[in-house]
Amino acid sequence: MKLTGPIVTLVAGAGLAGALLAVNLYTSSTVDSGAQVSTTRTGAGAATGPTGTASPTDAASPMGATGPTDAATTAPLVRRGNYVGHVRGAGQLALVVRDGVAIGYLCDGESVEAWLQGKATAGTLKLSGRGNASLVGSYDASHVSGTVVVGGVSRQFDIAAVAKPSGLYRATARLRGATVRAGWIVLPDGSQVGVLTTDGSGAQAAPRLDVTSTEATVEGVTLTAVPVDGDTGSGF
Amino acid sequence: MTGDSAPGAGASEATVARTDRAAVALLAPTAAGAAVALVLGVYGRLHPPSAVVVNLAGFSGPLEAKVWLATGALVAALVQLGSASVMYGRVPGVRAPEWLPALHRWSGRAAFLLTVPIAVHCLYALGFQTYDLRVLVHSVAGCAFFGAFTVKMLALTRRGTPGWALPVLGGVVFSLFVLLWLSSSLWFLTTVGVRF
Repeated sequence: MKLTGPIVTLVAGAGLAGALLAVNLYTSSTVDSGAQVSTTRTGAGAATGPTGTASPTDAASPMGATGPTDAATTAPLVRRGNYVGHVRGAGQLALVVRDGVAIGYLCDGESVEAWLQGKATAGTLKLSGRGNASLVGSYDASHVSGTVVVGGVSRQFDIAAVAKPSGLYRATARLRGATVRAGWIVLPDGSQVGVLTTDGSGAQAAPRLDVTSTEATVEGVTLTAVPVDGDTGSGF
Repeated sequence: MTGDSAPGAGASEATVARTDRAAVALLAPTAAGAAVALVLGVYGRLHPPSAVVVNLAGFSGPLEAKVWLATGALVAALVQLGSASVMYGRVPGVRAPEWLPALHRWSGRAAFLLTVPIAVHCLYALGFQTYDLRVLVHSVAGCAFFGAFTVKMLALTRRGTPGWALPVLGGVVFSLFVLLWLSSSLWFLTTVGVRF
């Protein structure tokens, strides 16, 4: 017993790792196929109307809900809003809507970020960004729900409306000859995530943004951020 | 680990034959541990990070889940350090109670099993990354940790393992884990905030 115990421990650890890996592999293949089904269905819907077959997974439903008929009947007339929330496995998402224009930012506070831009019409959002990033969703005064695809991975989200100083901020500056871009999402609990991108040297966690002065310090240089705000139109 | 010095001094007095036996006893565990570290690193580097993972119920996200699993493992690791120090007579005036070896074994198992889901998430969803110093240190230490742990477990089962080997290996495993916790959980708790 004393001699085999350590071996049992190692085997148990390896078994646990294998089981978790298998669950992860199974789950991501389900998510992938769900995303494919949604895409196909949206495409078919555009051409022939909403006669697509029922999708096997729930992943398809938020996309399906963005069809023009659904939106026209259910969405109240919300023209402006700021929304922030967590996207499982991807970090934080901010969406800002103002008079038909929508800006989105997805950020893990570490290295991954995606800026998206698009249209907001009659309760539906359709945004796209670099590297085939896309977002579709439906929104009302209190929340936005939908699907965001970044880096080829599709994720569902449901995020809530927020009020200042919570929301989205961005900054652009020249720092020692390089262009620096940063984005921050300030959460309702006061915490924040942000990513700073420097030309040539990639992305990193952004320094803390002072929400009252909207300033952050990068290598001794002060960076002034602009709130992206659907209510005031700042940042649009 | 200051506790390593005394048994280590004993080894330096060993005869050539004893040193050879020690080398033989540690050869297979070390080779296996190196292979584990290498396989994890290569997998983490080659496998494209999926970012999609199953989250643990009760946490707002996988990173939060990892922070708290790792912090739990850190507590167990501190129990490891304390119980090992007492067993090796490094705590003056404290005699090891009978149940201490069992506590050492089970706290070690708990710590190891808590780290497994973290490693699976790290390797599967994020991968071996090098984009800044913290991340590079964390990636290297993570692979080395599971390699060192494998060496320690296998060395326990070998006859003829020299006396200094277990404290040294235990110290290495503990130090690597603390480095991992500092470069991830502490970073998360101070940068992103204390979240569940």
